[in-house]
Amino acid sequence: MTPTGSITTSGTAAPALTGPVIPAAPAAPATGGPASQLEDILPLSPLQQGLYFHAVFDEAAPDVYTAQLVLELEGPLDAARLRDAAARLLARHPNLRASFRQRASGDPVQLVHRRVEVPWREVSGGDPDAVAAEERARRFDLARPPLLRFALVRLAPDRHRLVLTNHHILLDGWSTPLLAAEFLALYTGAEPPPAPPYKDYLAWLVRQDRAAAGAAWGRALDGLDGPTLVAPDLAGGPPADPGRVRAHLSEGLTDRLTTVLRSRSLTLNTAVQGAWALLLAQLTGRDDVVFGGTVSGRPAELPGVERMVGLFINTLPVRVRLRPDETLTGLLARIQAEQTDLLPHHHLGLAEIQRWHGSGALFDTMTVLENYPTDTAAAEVGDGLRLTGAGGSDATHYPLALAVVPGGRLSLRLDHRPDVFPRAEALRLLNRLTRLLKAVAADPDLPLARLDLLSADERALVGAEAVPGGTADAETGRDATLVSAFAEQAERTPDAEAVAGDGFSLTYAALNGRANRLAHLLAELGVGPETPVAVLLERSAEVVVATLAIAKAGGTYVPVHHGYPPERMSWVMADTGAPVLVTDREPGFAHGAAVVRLDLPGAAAGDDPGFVPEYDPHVRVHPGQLAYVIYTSGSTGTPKGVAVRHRDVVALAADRCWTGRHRRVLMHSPHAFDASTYEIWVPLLTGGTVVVAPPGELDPAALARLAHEHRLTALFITTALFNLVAEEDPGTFALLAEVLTGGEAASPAAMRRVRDACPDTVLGHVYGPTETTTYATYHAVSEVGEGAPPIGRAMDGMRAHVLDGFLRPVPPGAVGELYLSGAGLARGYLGRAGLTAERFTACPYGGRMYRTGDLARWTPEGELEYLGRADQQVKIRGFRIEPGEIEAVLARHPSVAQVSVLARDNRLVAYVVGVEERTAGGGREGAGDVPAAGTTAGGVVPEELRAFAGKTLPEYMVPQAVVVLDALPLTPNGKVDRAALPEPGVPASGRAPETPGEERFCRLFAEVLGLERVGADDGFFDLGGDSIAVIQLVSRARREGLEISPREVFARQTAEALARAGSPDDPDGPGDPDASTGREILLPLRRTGAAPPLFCVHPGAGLGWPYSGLLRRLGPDQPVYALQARVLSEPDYTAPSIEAMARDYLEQVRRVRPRGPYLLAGWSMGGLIAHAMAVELRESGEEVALLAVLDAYPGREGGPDERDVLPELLAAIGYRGSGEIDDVVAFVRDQGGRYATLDEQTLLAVYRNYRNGVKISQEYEPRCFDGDVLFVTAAHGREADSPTAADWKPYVTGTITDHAVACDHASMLNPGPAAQIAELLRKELR
Amino acid sequence: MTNPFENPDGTYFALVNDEGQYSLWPSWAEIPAGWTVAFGEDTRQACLDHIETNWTDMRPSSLIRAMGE
Repeated sequence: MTPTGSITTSGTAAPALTGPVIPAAPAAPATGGPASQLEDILPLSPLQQGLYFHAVFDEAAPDVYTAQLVLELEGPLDAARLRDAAARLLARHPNLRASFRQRASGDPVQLVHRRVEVPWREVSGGDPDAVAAEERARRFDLARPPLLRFALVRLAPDRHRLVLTNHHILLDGWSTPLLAAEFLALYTGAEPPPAPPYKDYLAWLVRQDRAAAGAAWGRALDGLDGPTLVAPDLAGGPPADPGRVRAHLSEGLTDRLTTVLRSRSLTLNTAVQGAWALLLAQLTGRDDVVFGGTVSGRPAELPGVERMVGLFINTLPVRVRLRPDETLTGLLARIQAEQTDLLPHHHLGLAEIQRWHGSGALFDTMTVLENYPTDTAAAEVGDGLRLTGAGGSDATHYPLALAVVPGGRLSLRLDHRPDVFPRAEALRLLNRLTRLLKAVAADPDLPLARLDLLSADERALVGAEAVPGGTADAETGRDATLVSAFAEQAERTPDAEAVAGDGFSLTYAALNGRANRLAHLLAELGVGPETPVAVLLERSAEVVVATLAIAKAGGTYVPVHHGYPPERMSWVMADTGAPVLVTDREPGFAHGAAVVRLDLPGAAAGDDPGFVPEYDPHVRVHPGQLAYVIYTSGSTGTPKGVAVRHRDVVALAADRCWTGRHRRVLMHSPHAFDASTYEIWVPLLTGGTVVVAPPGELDPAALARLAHEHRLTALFITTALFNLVAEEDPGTFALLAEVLTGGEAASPAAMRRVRDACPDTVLGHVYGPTETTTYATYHAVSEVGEGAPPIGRAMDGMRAHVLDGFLRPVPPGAVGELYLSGAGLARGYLGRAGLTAERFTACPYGGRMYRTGDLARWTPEGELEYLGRADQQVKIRGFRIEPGEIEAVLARHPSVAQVSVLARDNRLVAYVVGVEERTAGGGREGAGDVPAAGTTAGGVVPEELRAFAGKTLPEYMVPQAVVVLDALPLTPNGKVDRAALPEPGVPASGRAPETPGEERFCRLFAEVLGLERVGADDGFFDLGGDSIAVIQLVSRARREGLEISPREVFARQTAEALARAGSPDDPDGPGDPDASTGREILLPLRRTGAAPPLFCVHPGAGLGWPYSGLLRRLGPDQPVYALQARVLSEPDYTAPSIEAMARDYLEQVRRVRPRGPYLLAGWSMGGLIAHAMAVELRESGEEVALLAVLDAYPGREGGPDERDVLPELLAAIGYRGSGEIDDVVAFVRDQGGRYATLDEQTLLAVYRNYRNGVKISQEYEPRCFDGDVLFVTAAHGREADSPTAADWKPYVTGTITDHAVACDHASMLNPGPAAQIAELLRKELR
Repeated sequence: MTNPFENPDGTYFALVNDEGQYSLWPSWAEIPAGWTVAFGEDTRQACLDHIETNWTDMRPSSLIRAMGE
């Protein structure tokens, strides 16, 4: 409710009030009976309301709205008369006798008391400042009038100091001198004419057109893109006592400024606001800023308003948009015009304006021009008493508040919250403001973009000087190439180890020879200067050989990632036009290139040195030639190839930061990502050794083994893996001389752990986009504070620039965008001239610069801090991703009308508005009613959309969740309001844990997954768990004495089920100890549920655990059993045929399900067996309600060699190591407890089973099943001649429905794909 | 803050240096030494179109010469 006018108590009952000290309601008119203590009840003015809120917000903290006026008095003084004058002063001004209360409705009111005691004290001697401080420190209770007090300090018989302390809610700074003058006049016995009462003003307020004012403010703030906050985290915090710094302009400068302003009809207040806007824009990195501007608030139309005493001033939003081409004068004139238009609307309170604008806090800084009406200093009071000085204290709660006092020397005063802006920082700001005012005085017609806000010191610190000479990207050809630098190294240290790995080692001479042979072969195939050569290789020594060979042939290597879907592979081949592909496999995607197979006998890198010459091909290579092209995500829907030159890589390898420590460097990053540039070329060009990690992902244990066995000295790991190692075993790095990490927001806690555990290991924090050749800045982390450590300084030959929106360097502490120039700057994007010209631009300091799109700031020490992205680009698991590329792909799906993709908690979430929702009008609000991820809403099928994305995008770019909305929430500007997009619905029951066991697992889930709360029935994988998280969970649980294995987590998934493990009433668990091996043929994954059970047949490896990934999505009503190979429980068993297995399993099935309908599913070889079971069942007259075949093909199953047995098996038990059998056994044994069920013998049995499975699969001739088949294709890793669902046609009479899932064959039952498959099954079963 | 190279309503130049390399450049900003205006002032898209049409060999001129020798 807003105030509606004054309410007198005469003849009316007082409104209900809250609070303990409410005076008794006046029972009778003031004229009769006991006089009411209340003279009036008034509403509050808008600013009073604001102050009231701040005062009651935290009643324990000091109230910063305590103001003070100090009068220095000389001459004879009669203290009693002065006290009497004070009493009369209060008698003349009813509003000074007000107290403030809240009504029951919550609206505050001011109660004007008839009589109040004047708080008066007299002090003789002592420190007058201490008295003033004491007076200030005593908090006013807004409910106890009056909210002012006097203290008279007697310094000497004829020297006094009067301290008037008041709450700001009574008086503003304008009123204080009026009050002082009246007070002193009263002392002399004069009776100045009474000023109009404050309630006249309150009544005037009521008459104003609030709607018109609101509309005007709404227009003034229209299109504002969020508030301007210098301390966004402080909102609502308790106010701290402010610090204060001051500066004075010289008289000359003040004069010049005044003259310039006057000649352009500009006011000083406008100049102050303009300067503050410029300062604020740079401080916050915005070009559209808002701050508070204090206005006198005294409406000219109110008679006698200039003499009124009370609170009138108002702090209102000043919104300033900055345009780089506008001059200072232009800006100031525009501000003045905009502010003049708002003059009639100054009466509205800030809270109301914010309501009109539909926003919360708009600003947290303010300016005020203190042009008070009278000069109170040095005045004759009378009777020999003289006022010789006046001072005061006044404050605000804002982190920054600027007060400007006009005068012969313009005075600037900056109040600052010292916890946000320490004194030194506040002084720097004030100096910057002074420079800005100087600029206004000196060159008012300067365009804003030319305005320099830096001091000389700051310029030096941020390196904002042009580089002499380097104006263009001159290709002088003087420096080295990869070929010449390597040749020199090979010459120097032919016998040194160049490449090493598990079971192999190559000297520089040997590597040189092999690379030369391949180079000759490539040259024969036509590879010459800058010929792109695609490379698709499993991690091995061949990667190094091929990379070097292509450089030697003069070509440009284009590494492609085996995780790309075929369509993307083909796209890259076409985009580069690579005529040659070097690989170690059947490519499996469309291309027109000549293929060099390094895995086939007779290849150039093979063992026959006579086949091709081993001498250097001596192709001339220019340092400016391209060394490689690496593709990164592109925001417009297609990837872009970053084209990097030889000299860029040579410069990286030559950086001084590698010296001494990077001798044996681990190569484990995918070749298609630019960390591999460091991993290969830094050691090779400095005489060190590239240590090749075995294929597959690296985990902490594997890392520790490699570090030890290969005497690693350095490696780079992604933030995610670094954090994991820091968590699990930070000492892993102790053997290394240096660990490099970076690329994503660093975890200070993880860095601290590693620093503490490995004090002798250098921790290098690196930063750099692919466009500047892997790393651009480097920081050796020593102390780790609360925040992420800096990314350091530019590397040798490179320069970093942090620029604002007007391309001006920003001062230390201010946020800007990071640009990089100098050595290592790539040529651009292959074949993308426009895109290159947008990102690799002219540099104000010479040459070209790369616009990173990263936000950064300089520390006072001149190091860079990374602050996130200026655009939407994200990094997930170290992969750089443009959500725009994913959006572009999803938008091509016919069901999608609008889409927005963003990263949440390291997961990609797609928000989709379907075509149907759009045409239906999208009446509902976007937020609020959100279907859970995975559900179907009006046309958009999330799983289908993910599968669609998986056809063209690599797995790491396929959104994990799809949320279907009626409409995307929009900002007032009409952009997608990404902050308002809802959390993806977690399909969680949210049931609170009921047992101590459940509680512990819920807590552990929450810790590992970074969630606040986890329900006892929530599935670990549904909450975002992945295989890394499983290992974290297991190790944390172990630390607490809870014995679980990764496979238990896979099998049980919920806190409830894990807590039940081992208890006698565990229905999922093995009832008797013998059956607890997890090796039984019929493994119950979920026994309970009303629906007919689903039987899932094991793949080639024989284990059924992976099917547990289907449980959650199938729902609690769906029992699930897995069939496992007999060989697991009977190691000597050999299955004679698929049919025999089918019959064997059917016997088991019939024990729990004697009659149909039957539901069957099988992955890989399990698909063949399930089909055979279905045929058997039909032949015996049973109903088969579902046959789901997961990427299995008749007659083709089991093609892969022995090595491929393991991924399936190991994924199932959470293992992610090298794949050597000994290592696997050790891992399994390390799992300990009763769940370490796989001994070496069993594993060997699994191998045998797999091999046998391959054999009998190939022999198997399926019969015909007279029903439908639900088929699921693994969309990734397919080759041109890969079998398809259609291969089943001869063996199925019904319909074969084919669904694609974005994964490769081996990872089909990983959490993501498994959830999709479960969703497909669930729909089928409904 | 809108990046100065990303303002859809802004006007731009297409700059070129003596290596034949192009740069998009906001028209209000001072042109850095070593660069000249090849096209514009015009819309962002018109400048990019000009660059796409004219910058067909992205190798710097001196490299083109050196590789041609």
